[in-house]
This record gives sequence, C-alpha cells and structure tokens, in this order.
Amino acid sequence: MNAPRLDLSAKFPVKVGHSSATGTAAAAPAAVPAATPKRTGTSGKLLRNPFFVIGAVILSVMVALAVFAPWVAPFSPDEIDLFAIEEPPGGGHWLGTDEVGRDVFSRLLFGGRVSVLVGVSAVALQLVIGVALGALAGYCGGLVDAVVMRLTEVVMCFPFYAIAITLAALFGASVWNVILIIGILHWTGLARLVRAEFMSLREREFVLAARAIGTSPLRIVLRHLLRNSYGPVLVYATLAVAQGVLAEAALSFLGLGVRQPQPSWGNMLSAAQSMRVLSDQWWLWMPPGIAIMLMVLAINFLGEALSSNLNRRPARPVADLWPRRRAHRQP
Amino acid sequence: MLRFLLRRLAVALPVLLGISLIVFLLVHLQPGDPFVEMVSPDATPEQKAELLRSYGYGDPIGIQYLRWLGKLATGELGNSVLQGRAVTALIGERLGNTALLAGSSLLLTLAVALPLGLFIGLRRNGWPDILVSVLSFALVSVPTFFLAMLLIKLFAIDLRWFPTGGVVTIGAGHEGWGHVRDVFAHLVLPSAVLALANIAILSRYLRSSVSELVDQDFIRALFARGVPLRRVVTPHLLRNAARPLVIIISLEIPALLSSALLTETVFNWPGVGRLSFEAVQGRDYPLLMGIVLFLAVTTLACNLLADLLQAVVDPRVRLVR
Repeated sequence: MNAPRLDLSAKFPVKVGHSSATGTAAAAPAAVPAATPKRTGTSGKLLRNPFFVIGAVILSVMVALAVFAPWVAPFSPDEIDLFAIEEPPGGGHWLGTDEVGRDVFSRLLFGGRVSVLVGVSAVALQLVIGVALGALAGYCGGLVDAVVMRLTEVVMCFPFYAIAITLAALFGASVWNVILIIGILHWTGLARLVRAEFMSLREREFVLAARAIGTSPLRIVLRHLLRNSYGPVLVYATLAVAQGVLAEAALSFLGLGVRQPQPSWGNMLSAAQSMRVLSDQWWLWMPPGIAIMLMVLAINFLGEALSSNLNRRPARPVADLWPRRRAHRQP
Repeated sequence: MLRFLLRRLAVALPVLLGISLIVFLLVHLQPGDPFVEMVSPDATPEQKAELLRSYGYGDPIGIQYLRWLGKLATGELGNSVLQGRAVTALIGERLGNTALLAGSSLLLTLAVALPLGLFIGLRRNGWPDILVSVLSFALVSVPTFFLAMLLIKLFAIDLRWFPTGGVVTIGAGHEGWGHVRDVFAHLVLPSAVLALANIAILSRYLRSSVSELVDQDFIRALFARGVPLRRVVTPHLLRNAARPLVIIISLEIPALLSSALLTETVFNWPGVGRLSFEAVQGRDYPLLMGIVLFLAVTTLACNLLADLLQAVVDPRVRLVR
C-alpha cells in the first residue's frame, strides 16, 4: 500500500464535511441536528423533482397492484373458461380473454409479481457479487485488482442475450434461473463502479486518518469507503432493476424464462408471435407490453432523479470559482 | 504507440483465455455426452465406450481443455447436431445478414443522432430538447421486441408499407435492382427497431458533450469574434464532441450483435442471432457454444479496437497506464 503524502493539516478541515456531500444516510445526521425535521435535505429536493414524483407514483401503484393481485384480480389467473375464448375487452373481462379463456387483466396483475420479484432479486444478487468483488479490487489494488478486473472483462465480453439463452437452455427455464442468470451476468457494472469509487476514496485523508488510528481494514471498507460510495451504487442499482425487468421479459418472451401457465409479462407477449394475434387481437399483447414499458420508465425516472440529486454541487457561494468537478457519469 | 498496443494485447490475452475457459465449462455442463451424434444407433455399449475413450472422453478435465483449445486454434468448432455441418460454415452463412442489419442500423443511428444531438445541444432546454428527452426515456424503456411488434402492426399489417419479416419476398424471384429494392424494404423495420434506442442514447450523449463544449472558453471566444455558427460547428464542436463517439460506436457493435437476437427473431431475419435461438430450441449445443464463443471474441476484438481508436484520436491516452 503506497502511503499518500501527509498534507493533512492543510486539507483536513475541508474533509470533515465529506459525508454530507454523498448519500442520504450519511447526510441526515450531519445536516439536521434539530428536533423538528425540515424538508430541506435530500428528501425535500427529491420530492420537488418531477421525475421522482411521477416515477414513484407509477411504480408504487404498479407494485401495489402486483403485491395485492390475489385481492384485486377479478378472476383467478389460471381460470379457464372455454365458453369465453379470445373475447375482446368489455363485458365481464376488462381486457378480454386469451386463447383458453383466461382473464387477461388478472394475468396482467399476477405477471407484475414476476417482474417485481425478478427485478429486485436479480439486483440483490448483483449487489452481493458486484459490491464484494468491486470492494476487493478497489481496496486491495495490485494483483487482486488485476485478477478481478480480468474476470469482469471476461464476463463483459459475452453479449448478454447470447449467453443468457445458452445458460437458460442448460439450467432450464424457471423464475429462479432467470434471477440467477441476470444476477451472474449483470454484476460487472456494479463491480467496476464500486472499484472506481474505492480507488478515489482510499487515497483521501479521512481514510488515511482512520488507518492511522488503527481502524481495521474491514471497518474502513464498510464504514468509510462503502458508506461514501452509497449514492452512485444506489443510482446504479435502481437502473439495474429496470434492466432486470427488461431481461426477464425478453427471456420469457423467447420461452426461456417464466413458463406457462404461470403468467409473466414476457410470456404473455409471446402470444403475439402468431400473426393472427398480432394483427387482430391487440388486447393479448398490447397490455403486457405497455405494462413493461411503464414499469421500466418509472424506474428509469427514479434513477434519473436520484442521479441528478446526487450530482448537484453543494450550494456554496463560491461554487463557480472552483474548478468544475466532472459529474459522475452513469454507465 | 507500439508499446501501447503491446500492453493492450497483454491485457487481452488472459481475457481471451478466460472466455475460452468459460465456453469450455459450458460445453461440459451440457447434458449428455457431446459425441452422441457420432455413434451409430446399433453400436454396443462396449463399442461406444471404446469410441469415447479414443476421443479422450475420460481424460482429466485439464487435458480435455488443452485439446479443445488446440482444435480451436485451428478454427475447428465441431459440427452442428441438427444440420450435421461445420459450425463455422453455418455461422459464416448467417453472418452476412447480421452484418447487413447491424451496419444499416448503425448508419441510420448516426444519420439521425448526429444532427439531432448537435441541434438540441446548441438549444438546451428549448421545447425540442424536452421533447427529445421524453422520447428518449420512452425509447430506452420499451422492450425491443415490443417495439418491433408495434412497428410491424402499424407499418406492415395496417399500413402495408413494409413486409412483416424475412429478407426477401418468398417466391417473388427478384433479380438485379428489384432484388436490392426488395431486401431494402425488408431491412427498414428491423434496422429502425435496432436504431431507435441507440439514437436516443447517442443523441443524449452528444447533447451533453456539445452543451459542455459551448460553455468552454475557446468556443465562446470564437463566437465573440463573430465567427458564424456553421464555421464553429463542424471544425470545432463536432470534432471535439465526436472524439468519444468513435469509441462508443466500436463498443456499440457487440451490443448490436447481442440485441439483434430479439429483433432477428421477431422479424424472421436469418442472422446469427436467430441462429442461436434456433440452436437453443433444437438443443444444438455445439452450434450454440460456437456462436457464443464467436460473439465473445468479436466483443473482445471490438474493445481492443475501441482502445486503439481512442489512442489514435487522443494521444494522451497512450501515456496512461
């Protein structure tokens, strides 16, 4: 470990406030010591961001509908009604029925559960792998860094859909395999992000100070480095949920993800591979497609709001005299 | 420059080995033994075992990997189970179609995104800027295959402007210019689908780099001296903004090959992406592994190309370790 120059005395007072610039968790105690919480901090700024508000409203409605699907849905998603096959919307079925008389609206609600489950679990898996490897590479550097980075590059060289369908063919098609596949293929971006954050943070004086007073490496990683990388990681993870939802839809659409009879937006869309459905029965494929788009759009809005919130320069009167810091660019 | 090149290659070599190792492990994970198609159905179990041994099936996995690597070095990827032909030949046949699709969508992307990004970069926060922002959010959020279906429904089924899929009209037997026109008509929708999301990303990227450049002193000085806009745009703005563009485009090629899988499947476009989907459906593992290996190596090559181009357009890069 090469020791940075000891210019603590000159810069230390500036660095005391390092935690307030990043992350909601770190900012809260430093910024608001008063008993009455004022909506001036990070959350207040977020609530004034139209992207955040629109995204949060759409997403919470969709997630609520998915979670409470058994109580909201007018029919069971598997209920076959052979007397009502391929009925257009109207009458008893809001969005019509499919080729075996199942209610499309109910299936749509239950399909949302798959998207939420896959999106969140796949990102959780990515976080575990990506943050661990990125932290390892960024903190240790040297040979460990080289090995982890080569591994990351190897995984990144495989185009996602080509390798994903291969793995799906080998593992078999199921919800859990879809989560596994997305998780083990998409962690690379997170690992690189965490590594880059750690590399720039570990040379900073507050880390040096922590090391000087004998803080253990694990505690430095968790309390000082990881906590200060919180913001970019949160933004990345948010956007990764959207990618997960899209990937699940694509795999299920190809018949390599969630299989019938369990409904998912992707496998509902595969009905439109038949030209007859595509041209005449819009209610079978338009609603799931629009649902995917809305959910992904809402998550992307949230990501955009979070990222612009984090990139905002601290409101200093002299801000414009300072050399302009390059904003953190999202991958 | 040569040192830079050698250093890049030294980094790429372990990655290449890693790729081959992963593909080899995937080959090993495949259910059943890979030689099953080579044995005649009426052979006795002893004969089968003998044949497998002669191919080294029971050898330690390390030896098998080295042997597989040796075969790979001579360009041998084995035979397709379903079609009984060399995997390399099958990929070669389909590669032209994929290259045509990817190339035309790349051209379309550049033709639209360059002027668009420049325009909204120069007029930040006007209504075109906001419109493009909203549209690009929508385009990035829509699944490509759903977009493909919407376009087929609208332009192929309802308006009948373009065919619904394939490369040529079956049974039409066009020749010469007629053939070119026919292929072009089939090409419009799939390349538009592939291009739209990229247009959104690229124009947003260009917008931010142009709007950063406009604030810089050398551009402001040009304007202050009264240099007309068109004399600023091409030699100064575009040249500086396009520098990272070269790299983005070379990194875009593998992404195009990958996302072409869905587009090719929806449009029945007989390219490499569709071939890999057919291989999955037919459980044709040798073909599948061949395609995966091919795509991964192509990606690695494109990454190297991106590094080299970066060093060419920005000599400072060569000095950075």
